[in-house]
Amino acid sequence: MAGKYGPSSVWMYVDGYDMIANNPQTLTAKTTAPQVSSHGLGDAWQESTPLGTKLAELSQDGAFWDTTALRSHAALSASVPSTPQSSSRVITLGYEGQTAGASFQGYEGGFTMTYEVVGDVADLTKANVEYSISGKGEPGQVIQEETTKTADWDTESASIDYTGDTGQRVVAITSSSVANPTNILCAVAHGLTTGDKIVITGHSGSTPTINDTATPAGIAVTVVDTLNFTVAINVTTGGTGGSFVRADSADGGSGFQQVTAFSGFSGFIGKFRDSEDDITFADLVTFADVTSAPDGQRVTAAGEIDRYIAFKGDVTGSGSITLWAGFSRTPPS
Amino acid sequence: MASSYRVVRGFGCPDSRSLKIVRKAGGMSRLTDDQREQVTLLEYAVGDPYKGAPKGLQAGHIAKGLVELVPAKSSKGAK
Repeated sequence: MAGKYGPSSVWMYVDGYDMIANNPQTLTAKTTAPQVSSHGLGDAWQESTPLGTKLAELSQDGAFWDTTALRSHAALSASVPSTPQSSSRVITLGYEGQTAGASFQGYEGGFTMTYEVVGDVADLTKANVEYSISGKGEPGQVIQEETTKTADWDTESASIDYTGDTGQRVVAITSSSVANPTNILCAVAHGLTTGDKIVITGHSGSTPTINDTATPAGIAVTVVDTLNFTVAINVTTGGTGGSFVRADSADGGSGFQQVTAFSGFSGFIGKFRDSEDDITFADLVTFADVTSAPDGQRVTAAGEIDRYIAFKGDVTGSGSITLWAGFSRTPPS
Repeated sequence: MASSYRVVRGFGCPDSRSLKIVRKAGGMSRLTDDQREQVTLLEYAVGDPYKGAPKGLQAGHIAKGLVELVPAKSSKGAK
């Protein structure tokens, strides 16, 4: 059953509220590509053509209508936008559980579109919610699973390696040439740009090996054409097979932080750091100071993001904080 | 006079003694719990003077743009 998950693995935060705490019965995240009819007179069959836009939709049904502090009514009752200037909500959810490295889905912006309270003569009162999503859905990896901390900490000794992201495209390699630098022929278009860094695995027969496990930063490529690129290795015996994944990403990304509980501290600064060598971790994006919970934030990073990402939390004073954090890299275009 | 650098992007790295442990393990994420306890990290904030980083990491820090050269002050009255 590897790769399959059940209800206990589902989680969701909205603006720092733990929505699963209200026992929703279903959570639906849908992506739609709207299409228009494109047939006309004389056509025997109906046709449709994609508009070229995508729509993310989100709904949760059957949660208890709960007026306890930090539960569903507090999270949702005042959240239906009343003006065009209303702030969007920070929404993150996952279906693979909370383990660091697991995938999650964040959203660029979300609004509570409907908040429906359902009283039933034969049931406890429930609440249903539909969110309209403004902008894109942003898939990413959990960097800090939900945790409670009482002092500064970081996850640099348990950073998340981009090459292990199951959402990454794995590109098959056909062969490596006898050359310096060696030419790598791919079975399909590689999609790389000169300067991108990759990690090759499973390539056999070459001397020396081009499997890049010993170079943490990955190896930089020079693109020849859509199927070929070179890497700076002097190969004297060519090899075959294997595949590569990217070791870094070039187009920025978005960081999400959800603080579900906060007490005692006078402030908390969370940040993501990245590293190309798994040794030096540099600041990537920093969240605004948190002084209370619930609190949800989304921040964006531009440019290159290195292979390893870690989370760092700095508290002021003494107290306790419970939070979750994840990062979404912008996929290569 | 030796060139001096200052930090333009905050970062953290092992000190010189700890770097040997980290490199032997193959990176921070490959440290055992025992090794992690032996590692001391240096923290640099934006604007800090760049001092004390292991020599083996300095070229990488400069190449990565984490630090920048501080322009030498000109001597007043020098002609």
